[in-house]
Amino acid sequence: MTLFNISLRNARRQAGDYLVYFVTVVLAAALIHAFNGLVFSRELLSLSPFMKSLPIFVIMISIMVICVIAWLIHYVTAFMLTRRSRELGTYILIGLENNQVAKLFFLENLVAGGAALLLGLPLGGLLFQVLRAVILSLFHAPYTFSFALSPGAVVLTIVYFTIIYLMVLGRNRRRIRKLKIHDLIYFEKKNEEEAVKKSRSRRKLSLASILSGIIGILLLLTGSMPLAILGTIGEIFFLYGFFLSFSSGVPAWFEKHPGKKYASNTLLVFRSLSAKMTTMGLTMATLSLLFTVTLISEGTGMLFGTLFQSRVDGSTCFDIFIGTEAASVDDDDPVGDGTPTDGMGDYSAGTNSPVDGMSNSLGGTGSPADNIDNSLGSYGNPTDNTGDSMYGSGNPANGTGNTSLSTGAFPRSIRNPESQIESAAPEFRPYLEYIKNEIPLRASMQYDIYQGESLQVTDYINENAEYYAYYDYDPLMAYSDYAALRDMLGYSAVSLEPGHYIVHCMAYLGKLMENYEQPVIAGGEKLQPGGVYTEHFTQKLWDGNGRGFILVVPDECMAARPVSHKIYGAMAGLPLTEEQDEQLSEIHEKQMGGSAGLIYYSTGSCTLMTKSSLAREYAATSACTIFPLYYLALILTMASATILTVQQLGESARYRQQFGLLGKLGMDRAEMAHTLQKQLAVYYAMPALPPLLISIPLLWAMGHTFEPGTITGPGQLTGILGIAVGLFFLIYFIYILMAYSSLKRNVLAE
Amino acid sequence: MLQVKAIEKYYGSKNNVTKALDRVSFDVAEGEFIAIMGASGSGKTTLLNCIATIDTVSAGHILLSGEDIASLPPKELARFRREKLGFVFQDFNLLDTLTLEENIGLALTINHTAPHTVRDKVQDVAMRLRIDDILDKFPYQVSGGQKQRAACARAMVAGQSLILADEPTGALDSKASKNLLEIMSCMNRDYHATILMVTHDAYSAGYAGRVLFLKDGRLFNELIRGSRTRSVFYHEILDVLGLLGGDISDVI
Repeated sequence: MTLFNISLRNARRQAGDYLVYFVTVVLAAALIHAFNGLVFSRELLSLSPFMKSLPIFVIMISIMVICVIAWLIHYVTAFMLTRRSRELGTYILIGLENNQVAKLFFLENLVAGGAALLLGLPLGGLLFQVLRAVILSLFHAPYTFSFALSPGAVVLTIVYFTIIYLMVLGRNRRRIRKLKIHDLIYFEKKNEEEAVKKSRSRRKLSLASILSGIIGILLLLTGSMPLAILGTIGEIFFLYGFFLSFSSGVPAWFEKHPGKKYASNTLLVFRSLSAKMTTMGLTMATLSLLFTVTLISEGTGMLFGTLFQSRVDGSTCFDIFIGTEAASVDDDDPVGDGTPTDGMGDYSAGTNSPVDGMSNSLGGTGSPADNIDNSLGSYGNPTDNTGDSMYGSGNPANGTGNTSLSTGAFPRSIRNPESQIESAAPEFRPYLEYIKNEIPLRASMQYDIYQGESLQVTDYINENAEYYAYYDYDPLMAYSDYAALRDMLGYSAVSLEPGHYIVHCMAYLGKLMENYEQPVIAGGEKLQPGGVYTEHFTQKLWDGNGRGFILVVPDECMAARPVSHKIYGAMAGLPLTEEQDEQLSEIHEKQMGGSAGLIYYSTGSCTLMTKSSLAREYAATSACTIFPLYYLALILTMASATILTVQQLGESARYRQQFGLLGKLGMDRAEMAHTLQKQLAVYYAMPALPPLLISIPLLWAMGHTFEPGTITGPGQLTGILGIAVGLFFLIYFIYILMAYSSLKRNVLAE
Repeated sequence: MLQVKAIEKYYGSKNNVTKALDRVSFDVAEGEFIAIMGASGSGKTTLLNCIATIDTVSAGHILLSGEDIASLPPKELARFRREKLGFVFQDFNLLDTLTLEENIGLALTINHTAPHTVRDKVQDVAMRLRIDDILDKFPYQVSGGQKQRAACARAMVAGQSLILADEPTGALDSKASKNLLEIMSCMNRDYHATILMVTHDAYSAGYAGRVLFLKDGRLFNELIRGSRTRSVFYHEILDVLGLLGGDISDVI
């Protein structure tokens, strides 16, 4: 039998004995390969300009993943070396040279690694298809299954694995070369050295580490970067200090409480745990640190996902949104003389006869209030109101058809302004020209938001909730506009009783506003609360439908109210294509003098937003940030759980001896199974509990740093954290179950 | 107290049967100290394991206080072991992760003794066995003799009525062996512990009141010490061993 044959046979045996480890390396290879597939996928990278940065994120995370996998392989091969040192020593005893034994060990691990890689590559190819399907679905792009191994991804995966194995096994090879027969034969008896030997020092360390953990959390919660760095150092000290000192603190406590120690199976559970802590405290601390990173990665991924989704859902309820502040209308519009300068000055929405293109109207004094006053005259006869805006009559939008506007003098909204561009606000016209020609619409509307007479609702919200006030007045909307918008958005019809007002606010303010029972004054009329609605309504922007909330009041109350800003909202027949979005973006940049930025949020006086572009941005950001975070979290969980499981399964012989003795002493099987479960539960819970204590407050605080309304309440945040923690424990439990079933089979056999 | 009635034990399959015990019968009275001797493979440990309910008999009956232990269901067997039997093994069988106090207390814990009384009971028995000053030590911190005394303490702390010892001096030097045997005699004499000890060491067997000799699974001979000195009894045991034809290494 040649050396290579022995290596092959040992590699096969290794895959069987350390099945959990082997499966983890296969899965790690598959995951690495799947994410490498993303780096080389032209199809996915061309989905959005943002996707171009995906390879950078994936490679950055891959470097961390390589380090973690290298540590895992190093740890497990070193563990195997310890467990098999007697066998390796015997090889030397019967005449093999150290070099040959080192080569044997090197070869068998290389063969096992190569086999894992070979299995991992096709599995990674399949996983890549899953990732591809998810990303394509995020972009609403069609997916067809096509299994093909990208040569670039294959090469990169092989390069990663070669680096890992050469690095780790080379080290082991050098180590074996230097070992003597005696060292190898008695290697198994060596334990991990206790890092802190004196129990008094350990007790002090225990106290200091717990204090450090508490202070660290408090520093992390301050949100200040320098303090957060100090907090992170505090938490690392806590984890290492806690695990290195654990083995003296707990026995000391039990010494003082012998009644507790001898109750039930506590004695066996706590002693087996403290023995583990004594010998692998350093490893436990490192695993705990990795679990903390895992939970924070998963939680951050979930929170970012919620944030991005909330931005898509909450930023605009329209397929196309354009908002402009009233002041900017004045700037562009010819002021004073009412004469348009560039063909855009014929802003005359709301005239009796919109189609006749009656010019002028928008005041000229530069004051929004004056504008209204001036415009009023040009709106003609409010009594011409067709009645379809009468509040309290069900759905006013119905029956208005696609005619130009106007519910009369107040408000001066225009339905389908792109079909009568000359009547639309000048700011909107360049966009409307393009939309009219290129984007089929289901419905659209231009309308005004008005300035309220007081700040009472804003003050109430400011006092009772997290809220970034923008206006120095409570924004108002005419009921007829509101009803028409609800109809356009497909929301249920609502009615407004005379003398009442409706609050439409973001979901997170819903409960608060339901408790608001104060009357408001609008147009000199005292209005009573008449209902609260919380559907998405473009309420995050300064030029949206109010910021966080808007008061919907009877139309006639608007007569004397100045305009706060104007909005154009449209619902498209089909989602906008990337090209349509780009065209709109170009128009917007031109409008804003090239300062509109990459995406549609602008800092100027006009905002353009399309739901499709936001969805694409969300998809790209998710692919670039959330996916790599989950990738890292998954690898960290698998690697850490594998180390814990390999350690535990390596103790089978000791467990067998322990339970054999317990059986002889008269413990029945059910009690033994219960004790084994408890021992395993505590063993696996130990490195996972401190990370929960660190990451949950941290993620909770992180959830509160998002803009108000992103997280609708503690329930949603609890749900997000629950899912993040649940995901982690789901994978963790698989490893725990594998360890338990294997131990039960080996240790509690009949 | 213990009646072993014509027990048989077979190992192996249909075509290859090994008879480990062949119609072995004897009685043990309460407070007796019995040694079972025989060459390697004579069936000593199998007999002890059958009495200990660790192994089952192929035929025959073992009655403890009139109760046939072969008929007990597994749960009852476990209860029987923890309440009635105490074990002392050649390799001590102490758990490395537990201190001596905890190793002794383990027998009480398994017996569901009130937790707050455990420490006092352990202290009491440890004082009798002269290991009360090392109770806070772990097994790796004490000598073989001390470990075996801790094992003896564990075997009697819960008030077990029958102590089964399998080669208790096998891993001890002569001084520690002598100490342990003195302690076992004391347990038997002063605390009326019934002891059944398997050994192939004639010197150890000399401490017993009666010696049973096994050969090829059958009860070959029986020696009762009576009023003889230990030295005389020891020489008689050696004579029987000579008749048994065991290897010299089995005798010494």
